[in-house]
Amino acid sequence: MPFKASLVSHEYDDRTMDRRSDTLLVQSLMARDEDALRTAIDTYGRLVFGVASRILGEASLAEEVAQDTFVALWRRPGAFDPARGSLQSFLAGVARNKAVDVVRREESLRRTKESLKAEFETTAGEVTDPSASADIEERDAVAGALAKLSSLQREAIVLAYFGGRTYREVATELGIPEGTAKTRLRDGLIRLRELMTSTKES
Amino acid sequence: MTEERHEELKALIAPYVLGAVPLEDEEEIRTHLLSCEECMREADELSAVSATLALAAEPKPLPQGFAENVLAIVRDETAPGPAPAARPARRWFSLPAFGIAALLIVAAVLSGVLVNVVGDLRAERRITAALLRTDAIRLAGGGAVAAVVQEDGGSLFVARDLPGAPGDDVYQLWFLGSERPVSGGTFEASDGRVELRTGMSLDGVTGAAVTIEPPGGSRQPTSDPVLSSA
Repeated sequence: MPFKASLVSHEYDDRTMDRRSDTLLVQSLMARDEDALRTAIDTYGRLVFGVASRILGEASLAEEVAQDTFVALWRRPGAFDPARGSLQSFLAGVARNKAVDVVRREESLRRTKESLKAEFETTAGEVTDPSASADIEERDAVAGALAKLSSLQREAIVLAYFGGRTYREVATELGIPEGTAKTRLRDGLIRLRELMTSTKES
Repeated sequence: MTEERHEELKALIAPYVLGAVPLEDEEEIRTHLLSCEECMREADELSAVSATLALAAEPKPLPQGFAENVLAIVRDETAPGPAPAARPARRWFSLPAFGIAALLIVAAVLSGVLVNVVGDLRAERRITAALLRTDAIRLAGGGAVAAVVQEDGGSLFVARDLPGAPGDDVYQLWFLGSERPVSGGTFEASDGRVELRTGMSLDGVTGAAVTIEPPGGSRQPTSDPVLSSA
């Protein structure tokens, strides 16, 4: 019976990983290659821990969420679909969802609007590394676009996405009607897309 | 669906792709997206942006021993238990010579790609489309339905209403038609749904079956099928 041999390769050693090496890394994970998991942690661990830390103030919980994220990658590497984005955005998104689950279970862990806002205003848009790999370019594009949103749009998006609030809670917290909160989130996303596209072109 | 309700749901898509709608509203949004192309387009466009948003968080140095802790957890999980390795093969299929086929099976297990379908409505549509294809190999058992269809560069296995495999066990897909069952890969069900791409063409395949196997899968089926083709 014809079949496609799976390409298990170690070309992913290069730190500047592109989509092709994402796929190779995931294939090695499917082959239960522990070195591949170590490479994934070396490459994306700081990002994943950074995401979890942004959402959960408490370092020990953020560490737990980051661990869970890589354990999940090990259990089901095939959950990553290269057609839908980069591995780093997949892992960052998994960490975000896991961290928000924790915050929703335990409201006292929620970060305040003020602390979230302050963080995203001071750090967004910084150039992280002049040696710019594809990974860093993607991160800079997102952070840069977020920094360029109007402060009202950014506040709503950061509260919802990194603060774990529902749109209703966003409305209450900002003292605006629910309809306004929904519109602000939508307009913010559309503006982000425009900003990210213009970064790519420039 | 009234026009008014459609507009209300459409306005919820941005919060939805940001993971910011209350749990009780999610199901209605998902159901609506399945039948509304306009809203599905909106969800596609907005989720392409929201999917990268987490990258705005500043990376942070990992705590000491982080990688070792993760590796310890996964080693614990993959440590061979005493029982599973010893499970005998079941003879619901004929079992001829053991040879090159075994190598093919191992390669095939590795090439099966499980796509996480949670919240992925495009996946739900693909599952429905595959189940309805006239050239599908259809499987059934225990109230679940499944199908294998030919795709570019391989085949696609889909299932609906399949409960999670018991304990640490996994499901394993088998292609029938050659001398012995050939593995199409292992998988788990997520919300009852499965979408598994295999690198295997359906040339010469006359049937398919799904069994429950120990973690990591087996070289040959070790239990009776839970799903099988007619």
